Amino acid sequence: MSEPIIQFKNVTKIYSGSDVSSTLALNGIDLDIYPNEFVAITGSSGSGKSTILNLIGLLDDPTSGEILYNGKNIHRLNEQEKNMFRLQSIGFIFQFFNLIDNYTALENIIFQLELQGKNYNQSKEKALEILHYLHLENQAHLYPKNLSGGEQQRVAIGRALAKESPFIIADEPTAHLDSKNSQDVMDIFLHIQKTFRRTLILVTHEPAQAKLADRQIVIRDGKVAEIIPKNIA
Amino acid sequence: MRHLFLILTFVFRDFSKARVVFSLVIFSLAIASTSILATNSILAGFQEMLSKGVKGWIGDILIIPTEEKPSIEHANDIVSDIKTLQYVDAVSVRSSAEGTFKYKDKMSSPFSLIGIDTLAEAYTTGLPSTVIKGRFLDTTMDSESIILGLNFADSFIGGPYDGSSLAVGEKIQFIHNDGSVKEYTIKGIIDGKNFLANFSAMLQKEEAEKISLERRNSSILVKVSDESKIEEVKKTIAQRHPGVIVHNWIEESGYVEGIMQTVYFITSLISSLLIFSVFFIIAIVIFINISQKKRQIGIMKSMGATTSFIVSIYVLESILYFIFSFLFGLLLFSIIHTYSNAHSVALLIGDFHTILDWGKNILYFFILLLSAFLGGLIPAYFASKQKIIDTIRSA
Repeated sequence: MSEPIIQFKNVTKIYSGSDVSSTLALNGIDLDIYPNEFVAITGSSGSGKSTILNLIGLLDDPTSGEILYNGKNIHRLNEQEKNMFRLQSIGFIFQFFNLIDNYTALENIIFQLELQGKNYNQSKEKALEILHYLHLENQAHLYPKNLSGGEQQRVAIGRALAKESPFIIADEPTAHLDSKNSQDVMDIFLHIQKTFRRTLILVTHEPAQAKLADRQIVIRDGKVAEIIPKNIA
Repeated sequence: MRHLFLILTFVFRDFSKARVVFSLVIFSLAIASTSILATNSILAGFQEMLSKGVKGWIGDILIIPTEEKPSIEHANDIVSDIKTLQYVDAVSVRSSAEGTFKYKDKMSSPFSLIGIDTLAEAYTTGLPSTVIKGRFLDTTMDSESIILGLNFADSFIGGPYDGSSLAVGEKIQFIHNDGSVKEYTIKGIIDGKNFLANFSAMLQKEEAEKISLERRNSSILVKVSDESKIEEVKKTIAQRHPGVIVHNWIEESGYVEGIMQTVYFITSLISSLLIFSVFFIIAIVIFINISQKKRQIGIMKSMGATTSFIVSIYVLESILYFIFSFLFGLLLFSIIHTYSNAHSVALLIGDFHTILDWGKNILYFFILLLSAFLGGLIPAYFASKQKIIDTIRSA
């Protein structure tokens, strides 16, 4: 087996409240994620599964422990290195799509590519290819407010895909979609994972979606309660 | 610079999405810009009005005898020397005679009748152009010809500033301090837009010297070709002729400096307050804008946008707010300025209208630009430093 691309070593995350009470979101988690793997993180609400994604995506810092990316502790990076990591290494797909309202579907993808240093023409060409792949070429010039939830989420996937990052993390990407759109989104994920050989980490409530993954990691009370390989699930 | 187009697109979309807010902000900043331009042009207008009045009476430099002497010794030699100096355009010498004026049964207070060299005066002070009734003195006129300042002529009839005054052609008596009396015919009335000029009486220099030789050549007036060289010429004259007192026009009319300092203080205070208001308006607008777009900032950071990229968006937004509003303010100001120049306000000390002071306007443009830059930078910097997870969750 190859070396893990992501490793959690005794990671704890405590959210400090305004009063004496604090919330223990992660309680000394150890976790390995391997290259090109499709991992589903499941668990009940408040179990800490989204916290795992936020820590991998450098959106938040752990209270203690280490998160290693290719053996390097990513939370010890300086601000510039963290930016570079977010820019080049992770594609983040959120529950609420989180597109930039000021840009059209096409521009949302172009924006990501231009941030990575590509020129406008290259970015536009690639963005159109991606929109075509996602069957969104007719929606290219629409603003997010004029797109359906499913279309917005597909643009968000396109934006993450455009990055060509080694792994994509998705936080309950179908939570606000109907079953048809949810199915479309999951089909896209599977296709991306197989075609483009990306590591995919999916947080989901849906057992049917989790079963599609190579491994299910069940989080309970801030700890890894169970790891279920695909053939067993 | 690499992302300038990207940032510009973002900013202009932001503006177009909130057109009403954008228009209101531009309008309020434009009013502030107009006010700054207007206060500066008012200051420049006052400055020019006052300087014109004083220079129109005494020229750029005034030379007078030392306190213990009534006249300047060797005045002709001094004049000849001054005429050789660089930047000296014209020189005129005045004589005077002390006495009182009498019109019918009304007497003036002790008064200094001024004898002028009519030709030289035209080049040095421009007094001939201040005649509002009758004509200015010239060498063809008889020796009994006199011209009076507007307020002096007014003081003999009716109440002060009531519009009634001695008329051209009327006769007025001058009683010299030695008791001799001479009658003069009023040939013209001048409005020199200056208290001293308008409370004066003038006749030919030779005539004043016939009344009394005591105050012959009591002052020398100098016109300098370049405003910026007045001080230099003044110093040269003072060095070469230590037996006289040499003043520039500002020193000679202390009240002008007093008024100018007061007006400068007031306009500077107003301008400073307006600069602060521009800073605060922009800072508040950007702060509100950022508060509403926290989530968007978080999204961009999660995508890998750097702090400087986020800050650039809002700094550029604030700079564009300022540039649009300054241009609009300039348009509003040009309307005020055009109106003011077409309808000067006639005051006792001169005709007031606004003056465009480009040097100061450019200076204020950059000061305002800096305040707009800081007004955008400070809230944007603090917003960009917030934790990404907090900004994304703020939706």
